[in-house]
Amino acid sequence: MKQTFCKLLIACVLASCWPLKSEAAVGLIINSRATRVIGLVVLEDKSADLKFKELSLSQARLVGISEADLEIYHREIDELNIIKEVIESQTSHDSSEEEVKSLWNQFQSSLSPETMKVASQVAVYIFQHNITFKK
Amino acid sequence: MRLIQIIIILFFSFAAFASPKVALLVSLDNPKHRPLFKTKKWKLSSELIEYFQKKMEKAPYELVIFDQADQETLHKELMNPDNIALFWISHAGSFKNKESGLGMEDVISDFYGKNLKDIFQLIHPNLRYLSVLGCKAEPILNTIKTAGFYEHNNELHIYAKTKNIFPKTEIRRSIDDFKKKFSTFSDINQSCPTHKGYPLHITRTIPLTVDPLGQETAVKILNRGRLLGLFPKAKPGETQSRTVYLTAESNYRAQDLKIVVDSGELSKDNPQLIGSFEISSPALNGNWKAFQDGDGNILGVTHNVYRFSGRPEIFQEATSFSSFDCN
Repeated sequence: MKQTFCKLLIACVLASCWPLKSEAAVGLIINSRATRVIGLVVLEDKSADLKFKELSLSQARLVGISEADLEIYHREIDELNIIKEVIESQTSHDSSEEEVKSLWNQFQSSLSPETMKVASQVAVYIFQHNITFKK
Repeated sequence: MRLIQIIIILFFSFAAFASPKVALLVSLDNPKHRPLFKTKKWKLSSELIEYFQKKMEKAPYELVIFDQADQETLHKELMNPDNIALFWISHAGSFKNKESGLGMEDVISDFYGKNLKDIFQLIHPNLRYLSVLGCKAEPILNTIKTAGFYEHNNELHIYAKTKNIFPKTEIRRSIDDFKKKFSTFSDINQSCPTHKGYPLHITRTIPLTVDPLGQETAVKILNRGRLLGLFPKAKPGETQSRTVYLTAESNYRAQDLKIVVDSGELSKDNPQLIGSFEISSPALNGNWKAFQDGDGNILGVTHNVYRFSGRPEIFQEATSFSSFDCN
């Protein structure tokens, strides 16, 4: 019992001192049954992707989108996400605003003006309201 | 004649007592930072598999285990009529912000960096227990369930969590839960549910000359977020054919007649050998064309869209089909 307690204590001290990076999501816990230190990994995915999504009518009103525009946006949402993906694949974090803008201009003819309008309204709304995407 | 009778009786006796299969699919890479007291040879998935086998010792089921499982294997095992339970272990993540028109997509990712949450839409009615051991997997499966994808899986028990999880702890809890529920499972029903739908004959071709960096990939066939089928991995020069079905509806709008072919790849930096698709739909009067740029290049890195051009009117009766194999 005493030995088990000592092991637990040593493990706790090690766990609190070890410089673990939070992003690694590696934690240390004690397996109570075996009373030995084991490493456990949190199965959290960090590779999720931001996508344009459908809006309800009330949400659209909140953002200032008309019903007619919303319908066209919904019709082309898959294509809009494809263009967003293509632009992302051709740019990086270091790309300038002009580069990104020019790519959007290049591809916008593939979409209807209404879809582009709604997409920019959504983006502006998110920016203005400082909306973040939390798990 | 008597010998044949004996053989038939023996066959059915074996069939009746054949132990049900329990599939474990693990699709995890090793964490970037190795936990303390683990050697360089330590492999997370092997440790979890070993633990699972130990916990399932002496159980009256046949264990089928897959390490580094991909979307093809998952689809095959979810649709396998012999499986009574399936345990899936991988990374996952669910997001709350879905109301602003721009949002993060829920993810159940595999070892290869593919999002395979849509694969969980199609589950054989014989499966009685599904355990998805990944962080916050429960809301993802709830969304699939709420959308009506499990209408033929009334007896399916789902084990998933709304929070971040530690795999070993959850394996133990889930196995305990499965063992408790096992006695309540009803007999397997051999009749397959059928639907009415319109056939789409799809041919996928991977050209001989492809991007040398392109990765061979399986491809999901989706219509309005609904999984219609899956093409397995294909090599350059290979051609594959499938018939899938659009669900029968009286009024199709133009935006409904769209097919998304999706590799599920999560990174935009990994080009995928998706290939080109020819789609024919005998019940619809029109053609399917890929979403392209002005130069005729198919747009999309990880997925492509094929749009129906024509009048979205149905001029053939819906045919009966089943998504499942019940032989």
